[in-house]
Amino acid sequence: HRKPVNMQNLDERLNTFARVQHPIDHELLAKAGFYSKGEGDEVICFRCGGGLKDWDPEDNPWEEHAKYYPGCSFLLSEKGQEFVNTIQLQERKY
Amino acid sequence: MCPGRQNCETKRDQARKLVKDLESRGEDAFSAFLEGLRVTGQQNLLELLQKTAPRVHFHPGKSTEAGYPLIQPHPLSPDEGVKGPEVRPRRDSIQYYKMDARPCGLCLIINNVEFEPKTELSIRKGSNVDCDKLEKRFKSLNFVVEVRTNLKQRQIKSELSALSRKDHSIYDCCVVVILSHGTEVSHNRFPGAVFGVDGNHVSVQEITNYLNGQNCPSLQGKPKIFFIQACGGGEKDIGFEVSPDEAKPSIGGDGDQTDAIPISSSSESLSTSDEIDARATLPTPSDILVSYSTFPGYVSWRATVSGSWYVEVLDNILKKHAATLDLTTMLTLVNDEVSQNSAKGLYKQMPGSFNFLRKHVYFQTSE
Repeated sequence: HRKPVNMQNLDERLNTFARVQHPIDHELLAKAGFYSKGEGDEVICFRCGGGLKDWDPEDNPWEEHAKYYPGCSFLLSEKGQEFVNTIQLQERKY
Repeated sequence: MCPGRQNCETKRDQARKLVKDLESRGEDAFSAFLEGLRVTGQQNLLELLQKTAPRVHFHPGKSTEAGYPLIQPHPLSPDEGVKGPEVRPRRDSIQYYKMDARPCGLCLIINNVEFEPKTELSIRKGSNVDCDKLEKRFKSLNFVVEVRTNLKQRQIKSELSALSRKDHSIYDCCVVVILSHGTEVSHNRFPGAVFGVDGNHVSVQEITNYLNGQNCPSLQGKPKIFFIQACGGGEKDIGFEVSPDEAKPSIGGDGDQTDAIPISSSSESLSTSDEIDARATLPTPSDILVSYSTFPGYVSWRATVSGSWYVEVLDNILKKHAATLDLTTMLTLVNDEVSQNSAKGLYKQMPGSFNFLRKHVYFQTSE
């Protein structure tokens, strides 16, 4: 039996991308709190549990995290409220 | 015109195509185009084009009216055509919510001022000032406003439930304002919670759920807007109240104070591309915007005489700009002003907006 993985750990999150072809840089995703479940390009935040899929190569993992899961405490602690607010109120493509 | 155009091309591309079109349709095409502008009342554009292309004459005699039946425009006074940026679409379109129902919608204000002694939550002095301001403001924006004072947790829930069971078919929007003490509750979409006067809280997530598409079908596709003035922290409110003169710190009054202005994280490069973004795997709460006086977990300042910073600024911005700006732009202005206010020394406050709207919101204003 493998020892249970702890997704709070950046390296553990990064490891989940080892056999995944993802349009976004794996390290950027892992740093933004995401790990891969191994299904397509879907990723999950270890803290808030929010998932994201259908990535575009231009997407920024932190910005997408802030757009869909603005209440995530990992996001807020790493990027701060001002960042989240800016993303929430920025000019959107409606 | 091709209905798909606006989706696949920029305005510049559209303009180029139009010019090419005109160039390739014979020498009368441009004057016919100008005539079309005249007939549809777009005087300002017409004059502009005549100025920039003085050699082109347009001949009213060679009107295209016979060939192409034109829709008769409603009469415009000469001034009206020049208004420019003030004119904006009122119908539901790709970018704007339809907001012309009269009245526009219902607005519920919950104003919790006096809390039960056992809760040890202080009286929220100044909250009635906030409440009056917002009641007047949303009435002026053509909402039907109802105010409820000093509600317990259970009563907050039943008011929201009653609101969700009303028939909103004839309305275009719904607004909920909550003025109370608050506390931190984590949630990945809408964190935070507000207190009933009995000291039990209702999470913001639950508050928004009452009006979501599932629980309130007659508000489906319509903007549901929540304004929440609450201290986000679990601590009691003692010490959060500030005297009226402290509540309005002047900016740049003396050199020491400007040091305290929070440095903006402008180094974050924000993507403005039109690319399709990643999607949430959970159903996104659509058509909901929650504007918090402060990020959950932080204190919110309230002056005992003039009311809270947030409500005062929000009210002023709505008063000044509701006729011309959309809601998220106004909330950006609110952020800016409140964070300037709070730049004095130790106090800092940054309102938070959690925005799941799909279109712009322009309120009705009685011009």
